[in-house]
Amino acid sequence: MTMIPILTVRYCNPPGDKVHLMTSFLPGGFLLIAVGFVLFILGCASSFNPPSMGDVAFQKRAQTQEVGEVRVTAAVLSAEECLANFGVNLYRRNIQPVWLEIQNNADEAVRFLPTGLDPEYFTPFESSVLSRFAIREADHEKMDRFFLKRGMGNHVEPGATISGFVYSNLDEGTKTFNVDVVGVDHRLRTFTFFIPVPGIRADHSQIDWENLYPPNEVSDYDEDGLRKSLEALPCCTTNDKGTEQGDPLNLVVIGDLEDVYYAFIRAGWDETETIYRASIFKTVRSFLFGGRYRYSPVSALYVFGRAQDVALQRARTSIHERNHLRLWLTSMRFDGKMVWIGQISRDIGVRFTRKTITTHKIDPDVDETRDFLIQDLWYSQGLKKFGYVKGVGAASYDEPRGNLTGDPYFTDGNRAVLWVSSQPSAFSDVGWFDWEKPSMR
Amino acid sequence: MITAYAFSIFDECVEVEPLFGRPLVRGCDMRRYRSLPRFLICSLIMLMAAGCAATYAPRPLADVNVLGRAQTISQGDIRVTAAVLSAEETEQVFGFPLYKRGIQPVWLKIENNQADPTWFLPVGLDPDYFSPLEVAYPYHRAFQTAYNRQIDLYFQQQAMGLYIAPGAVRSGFVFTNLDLGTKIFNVDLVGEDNGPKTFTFFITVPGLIADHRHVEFENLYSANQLVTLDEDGLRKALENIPCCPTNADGTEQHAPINIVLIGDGLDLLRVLIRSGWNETAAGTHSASQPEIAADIPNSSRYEAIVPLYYYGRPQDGSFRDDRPTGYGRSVLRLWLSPMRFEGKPVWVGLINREISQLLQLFINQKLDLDEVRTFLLENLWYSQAIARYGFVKGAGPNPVLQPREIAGGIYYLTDGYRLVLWISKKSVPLNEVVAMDWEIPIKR
Repeated sequence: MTMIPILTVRYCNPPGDKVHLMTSFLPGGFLLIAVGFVLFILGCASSFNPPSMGDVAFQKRAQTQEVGEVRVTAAVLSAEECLANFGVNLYRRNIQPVWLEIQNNADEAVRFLPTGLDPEYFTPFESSVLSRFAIREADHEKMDRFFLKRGMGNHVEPGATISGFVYSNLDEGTKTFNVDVVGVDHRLRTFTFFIPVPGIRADHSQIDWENLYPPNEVSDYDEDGLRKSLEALPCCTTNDKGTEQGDPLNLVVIGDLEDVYYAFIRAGWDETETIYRASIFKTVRSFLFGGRYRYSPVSALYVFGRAQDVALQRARTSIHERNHLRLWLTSMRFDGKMVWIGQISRDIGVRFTRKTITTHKIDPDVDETRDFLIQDLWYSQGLKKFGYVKGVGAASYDEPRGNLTGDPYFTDGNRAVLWVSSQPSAFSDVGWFDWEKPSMR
Repeated sequence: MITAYAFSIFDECVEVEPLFGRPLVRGCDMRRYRSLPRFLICSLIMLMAAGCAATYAPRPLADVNVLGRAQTISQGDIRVTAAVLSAEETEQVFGFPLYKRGIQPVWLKIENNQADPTWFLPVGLDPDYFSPLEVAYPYHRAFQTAYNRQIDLYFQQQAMGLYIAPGAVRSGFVFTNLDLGTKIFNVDLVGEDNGPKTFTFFITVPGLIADHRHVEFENLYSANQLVTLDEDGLRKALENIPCCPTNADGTEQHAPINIVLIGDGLDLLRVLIRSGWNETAAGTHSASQPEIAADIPNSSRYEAIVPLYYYGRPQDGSFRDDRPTGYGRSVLRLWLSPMRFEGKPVWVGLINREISQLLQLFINQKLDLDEVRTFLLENLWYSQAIARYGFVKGAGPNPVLQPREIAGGIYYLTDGYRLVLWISKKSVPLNEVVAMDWEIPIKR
């Protein structure tokens, strides 16, 4: 019971991160009842006074695309913009409003399908009900109508423009979504958006890509040259001094920053935050109380004397089980595209170590994880061509090698080579580098 | 006791009989412990650990009778056989209650009689499948290297391989996310040309007896009760069916019938499950069937739905789809009607959304029934499961200003139209769905 007054105070004041911690601490239901009850008793529930839709900064960030005679403009609201535009903290309820404007210049009516944007989108009433715990009851009706009015319609008459919000599930970092519009003429128009959401500090945003390599070090390779150079790259990551070897460098990715980014995000991978106060807090909370912090910072591993340029992760429901990959840009170019060397591993639990006290245990079968990634990108149509190249050196099940924390791994010694594409490529059009034999596990 | 410990050491240190040609336990080879003190320390640790340890003794699949249930699909020169293990079978084959961790092993046998090799892609079966060592790791024990090695090897050897050489047969398990009721999955194979071959399985998992399995659909209507309708007749008939399901004694009306589905029962079931709906346990038959084990993660996905009455009986089938963030769930109740259209049965139903118990504490909840109706339309549209759709008049509107109250302080609003969906067994591309030229709901 001693906790409840703290919560109440927090809810009456501008909400801080502390409440979030507490919601993880108790089963959500009980906590919300308690909060609701105390708010009711103390009468500190606030009124609902959202501003009108006049001066809205997010529209200035909006992206526009045109397919045929249909024009779609989209913007994603940040946490602060939600508060400013809806008067309530929607991010806390995992709701992220996406603002859309659809202009139909075709001769036929078109229909917007919100399921294509998010198959589990929230309805306006759901969004209103879920976010109104701190609002006094007298204003609930007003709030319902407000959310309904701001909701996005489906039907766009010829020559008409409609706009409104789709209440989607929260994504931080970069949000990718489709806006599917189907016409009476049976034409399906798909608009794919990648929109950065203000809020998290992604690791790759701090890299000065232009100056990583001086221009005279950057060189183009043909297929044979690329194969030889990839085989000659180091087998493994190292510690910061370069004195000990860590996880195997079992990935090569070919593609410019945008290709890599789009292909992986479309396949459900999330960016990674740098280590700073808020990200440490979120990691510790997720570690202690469960839940998934999709953008959790990762430890640094070293190649070319520097920590990874980009780390990406694909989470299960708990922080302890997820796939991690790290990429380092090389000075090689192939077909005009950047070439990256990388490492992928699957966290399967927590174990204790002498050096770091606890660490994530990796699946020792690193080839399994590597082959998962090939399929993952293949199914999400992010793969243009793939193959295998030597360079890691084999380690058997009975005589495994160890990474920096002493975790064993075994491998056939090949790296997966993945040429990724920002444009979707059909399943059966994916090409094959005829280098090493494909996996026969 | 000392004898027992001594035997435990013996068990731990001697190579276990090979299952697949390779010795299972090598971790405590005595030659490693060259000096007596080291041997004694090793023994002491083992005594401590083995004191509370039983040996790992799973029963390989041949001893467990699941293969009788397996289904086989052939395509060209490839034959795929699949079976899904129940909770008990999983525990027998793997020695651990994997269902409690939300893991369900699917057994596969792939026979490749082609002249070319083929590869199996587990991501097509379950994009979030578990790797064998990931499944085994939580069962590791502190200081029992040999035991841990034994279970790792066992899981690794039981796992399905990916490469199937020409003329070869391979079998093994894929560790998938748990589904009860009917499990639907694809087995995708690719050849050297990277062209995919897909085998789709619909397998009933023992353990949950869904409500619709208790209904004798054959005996619901006699031949002279059935009515065959043409398009106009169907439209009129659907406008005039009774407005709403009721409670058991017919004294309270619920929200109106807002869904009509046209299609064979099995096709409909498969379409709904493919679109993410869960079958539910039969609430009214609970005495005759085991409860869904409460220790299965998310077992509430299959909990029974409160019966509503239409045609004088509770729903013939109910399905649920949990909403994100604990808001509640979408609930679909269906009744088989005596109407037939183009040789297919016509199902009438109510789709609505049940709000979680917590939220019910807050009075004055509004439910936009039309939004939920649209959700089903798009849900099936994106699963490529509908060929045609249209709207007919129904119970009449309850607009925002005059919401109608149903039980539990929930108000609903609706434009009063019923959505009619023609279920297609074959996939229908998004842009080939035909809209019927019937009613047009108020544009939103």
